[in-house]
Amino acid sequence: MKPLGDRKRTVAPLVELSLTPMIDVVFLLLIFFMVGMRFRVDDRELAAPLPRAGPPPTVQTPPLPEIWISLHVQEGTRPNPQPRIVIDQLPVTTWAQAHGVLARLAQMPGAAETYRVIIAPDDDVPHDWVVTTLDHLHRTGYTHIAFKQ
Amino acid sequence: MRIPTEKRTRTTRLAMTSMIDVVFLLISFFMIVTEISRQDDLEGLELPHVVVSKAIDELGNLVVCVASDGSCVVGGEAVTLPQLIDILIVYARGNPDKAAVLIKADRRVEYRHVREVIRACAEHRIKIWRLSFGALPIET
Repeated sequence: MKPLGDRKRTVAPLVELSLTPMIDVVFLLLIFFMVGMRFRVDDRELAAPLPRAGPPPTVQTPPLPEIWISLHVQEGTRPNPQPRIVIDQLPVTTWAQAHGVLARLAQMPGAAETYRVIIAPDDDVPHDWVVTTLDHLHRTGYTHIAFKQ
Repeated sequence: MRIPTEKRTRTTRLAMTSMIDVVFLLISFFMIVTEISRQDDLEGLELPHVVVSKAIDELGNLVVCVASDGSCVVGGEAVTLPQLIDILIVYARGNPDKAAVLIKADRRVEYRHVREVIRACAEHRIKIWRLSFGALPIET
């Protein structure tokens, strides 16, 4: 019988965990998320007038003075349409001019709160122009806004 | 004299443990930041840019997308005008006194298509209380 010191002890083999494939998988996941992720600006909303259909109200209120804003496409500007904006029969061709006219009208005492602005776009104008008009009206303080029925 | 037979090379050992931690942190960051797009959003929709706008009120909003070709999409599905009216009726009944419609129309779409949606919302049998247009803020 061999002395105790000469016997080889049976040692359980160590379990080795190879980290190299896991790093590869992790890097692949990282690249997937970096490529697949897109940054975008959060959408916002702009209040729009809701035309009311149905019978007129029983209480008759005095009509408000009106400002008509009609939106048209300038002739001959397709396929890159340019706006022709008519504000209270005053034609303008840029949004800056439109904003200036609306701002001057709003400077009249109480005008922004009492005047009723009616937006009358042509059927073929881009939706962008309608929203831009609403934006300018909100910026100049008009509160009574409606779309042409 | 001892003659060296092998040239001793010094091996550089790179500790991978710290790098794995960093990579896991990056993975966690991207997994948290990545948002799965909502069904209400339409791919390729370009919204108008405005100065005055407010954050979308998420409560009870019915989103109607109008694509650049004029088609209406609600909840990821294309709908016709009669179907849209039916959807609005059901929605308004389920949300009395707080039915709000958000129209996300492409900036290039002709106004005639948006007007149809607005008219549908204004029907007297459908009690829609608030209407708004989807827009993006102008970068100042």
